[in-house]
Parts: sequence; C-alpha cells; structure tokens
Amino acid sequence: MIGIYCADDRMIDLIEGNYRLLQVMSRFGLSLGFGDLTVGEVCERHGVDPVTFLAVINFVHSGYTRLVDEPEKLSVATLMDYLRHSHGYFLDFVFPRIHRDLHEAVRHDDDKSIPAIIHKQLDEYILSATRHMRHEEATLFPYVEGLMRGESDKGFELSAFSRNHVPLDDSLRELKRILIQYNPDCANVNELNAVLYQIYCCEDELDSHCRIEDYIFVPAVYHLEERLRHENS
Amino acid sequence: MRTVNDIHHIVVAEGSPIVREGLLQVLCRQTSVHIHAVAVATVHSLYDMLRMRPFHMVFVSPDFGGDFDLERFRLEFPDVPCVALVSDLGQLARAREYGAFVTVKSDEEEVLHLVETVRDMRRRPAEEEEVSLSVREKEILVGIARGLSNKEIADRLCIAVYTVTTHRRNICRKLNIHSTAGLTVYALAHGLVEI
Repeated sequence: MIGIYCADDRMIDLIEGNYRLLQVMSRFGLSLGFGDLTVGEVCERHGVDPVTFLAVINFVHSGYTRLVDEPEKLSVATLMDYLRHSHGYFLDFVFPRIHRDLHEAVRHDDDKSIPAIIHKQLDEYILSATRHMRHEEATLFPYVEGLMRGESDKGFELSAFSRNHVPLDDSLRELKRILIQYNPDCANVNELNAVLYQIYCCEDELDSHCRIEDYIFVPAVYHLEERLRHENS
Repeated sequence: MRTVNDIHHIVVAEGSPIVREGLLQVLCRQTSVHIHAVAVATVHSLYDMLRMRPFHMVFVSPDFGGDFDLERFRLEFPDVPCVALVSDLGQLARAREYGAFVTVKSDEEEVLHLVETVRDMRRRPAEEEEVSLSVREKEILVGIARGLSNKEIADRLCIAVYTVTTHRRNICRKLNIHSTAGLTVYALAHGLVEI
C-alpha cells in the first residue's frame, strides 16, 4: 500500500524517508547500527513486535491520521515499553537539557526579574509534567499489566482516563510566548534561539506521545478489556 | 495562543483513499482552527473510536460501510455533528438528510466554514469579547504580579474574594495567559508594575 511501511522495508529507508521516525525507533528500544536489515529483522533482533512497531511508525509518518484497522492485534506489552521509554526520554533527557540550556541562555541575579520568573515557570512545568507521567505509571500502567495477566480492576475506568487525558504542553507554550514576546535584554541571542527551538521540538514530541497514547495505546487496551470481559462472561 | 481546549477533534470515515487523504490534507492545513483529524476504515472502528474518546465532528461518506446508518449513529452519538462527504452525484439525495455536506468540488473555505461553525457552537459567547482589561482587572493584575493572594487582593481593594477570583478568571481568558508567572510578566512588560 502506498505511503505505508511494512516489515520487508529496510530500516535505513524508513529513517531516510522520514528522519523524525528515529525518535520513534529509539523509544521501542531499537538501537542504531542495523546495517541493511529489514524492519522485521531489526524488530526480531530486539524482541519487539513488528506489527505494533509498524502501527506506530505509520501513524506518525501519516501525520497522525492513519489509524490501526485491527487494534486487537497490537502487542500491549510492546506499547507499554514504548510509553515507559518515552517517559524516560522526557524526564531524564529532554527536560534536564532544556533546564540547563535555558539557565545558560538567560541568566538572572534578581529573584523578581523577568528571567527569574521564566526559570520558575520552567521549573513548575517540569514538576507538573513529572507528576503527570508518574501518575500514569502509578495508575494506568499497573491496571494494564493486570489486564495482561487476566485480572480486571473494576476501580479503574479506561474511558474516564481517555476522556480526561489532555496534552501537557499549555504552560510550555506560555513559557515560549514569554521568551519570544518579552525577551530579556540579558539573554544570549544564539543560545536563547537554540533553547526556543528545543522547546518547539519538545512540544511536537509531547504532542506525538499523547496522540500515540490516545489513538494507538488506548484502543489496544480497550480491546484487551473487551476480550477479558468476553472470556469471563 | 491555542490551548488544549481549542483542539478540534475530527474523524473522517471514507473508503476512497484519494477523497480521504484529500480531506485530511485540507483539514490539517488549516491555521485558524487547531485540528486533530484521524481516518477510520470501517464502521466498527468509527464506533469504537467515538466510544473511547470525545470527537467534535465526523465527516462520513453516505456509502461508508456499504450504506451508512445515520439514524443508528445519531441515536448513539446525538451530540456529534455528522457531515456528509459526497464524492458522487448518487449520494446527494442521502446527503441532504445529514443537514450539512461537502462534496469533492467544495473548496477549502467551505470546509473551514463548516468546521468553524461547529467549533463556535462549542464556545461560550463570552470568549468573543475584546482583549482590553478594565480598570479593576488591571488593579487585580497588579496584585497578582506583586505576589498577593486572592484574599490579600480582596482586602486591599475592599471587595469580596469571590469577586477577585471572577475577575482573575476573566483576565486569564482575555489575555489567554493562565499561569501566575505569565500574568506577572505581562504586567511587568506593560508597565503595570515595576521590579
């Protein structure tokens, strides 16, 4: 099918066709250095379900429009690993790097100045994002792991989680707006532009993460619930 | 500045890849409405998706799944506007049952107008007011920028705390700034307070 990657495609062609898929690949735990191997061969080498990997790849590559026809065939375990890696990527790499680079670009001596407010805004955002992701790890992930073991928890409602699941990035947008519109005179221009670009990329990646949760992960879990309900009835 | 509540979630249910991808491109290219659009291939997927999360509108071919059952759809999802996506003349008669339709000959403005109409129906009328702050709102903004609590602001201005929170909500909506830091920077940048 045109515009769809499949297991027989070479992994290098996938990356060359859309370099943004590199991030998706790494969050499935797939490392570089795969030579001429196909998508199927790379997935097999790393114990990743190729159907699930390709579902996410094709969803991202299509601009988040192409949904999976049969979400019941996806590996929920593979998707959980993806989401865990993704959380680690933001919490352990992206946010600390933005924090460090923003402090380099915008220094402040006075706690009441605009630069100080900017740093505080970023710190509050990182704290909020950390809480959001840890909350998912503490509630949603154990529920799904229970489903995979054949246990259903009537205290957790997937549909309520899905309805209330909103992207995190509103305050990150505000931070960006403050930096662009009220650029402190003391800022180093090149460093500030570089940090702004990192924040834009972070926003895009968070948006991607949320869409994968909403349109790939939740439907797969929903079908797992349905299967369990059917088996237990 | 867009917020998460401004995202307009749309489903496109159309079997023809040319028509489907064309409409998705038109929707995702819009700049005046923040759209998240996805495509479904089967009626089963459409119902599954709408049961799992809220969507604001659906574009569907009257032939989707053979012969799309609009009555059944409206029974289960009465609050989701359904727009007919017409790709041949034979579908026009059925399209009129939908109340609104677009055809393959529709231009981008027609599609956008439909989307904006549905979006505007979701919004409260108060969201269309001007951005300028009243004198009282500026006084409250100054208090926020100085780090005062709502109660401290209320005491200084001799008004009720409830009045302060109401004004604060209006300020956030008018300026489209929701954090204390953002409001503080706004006040500093506009000379309402000094460091």
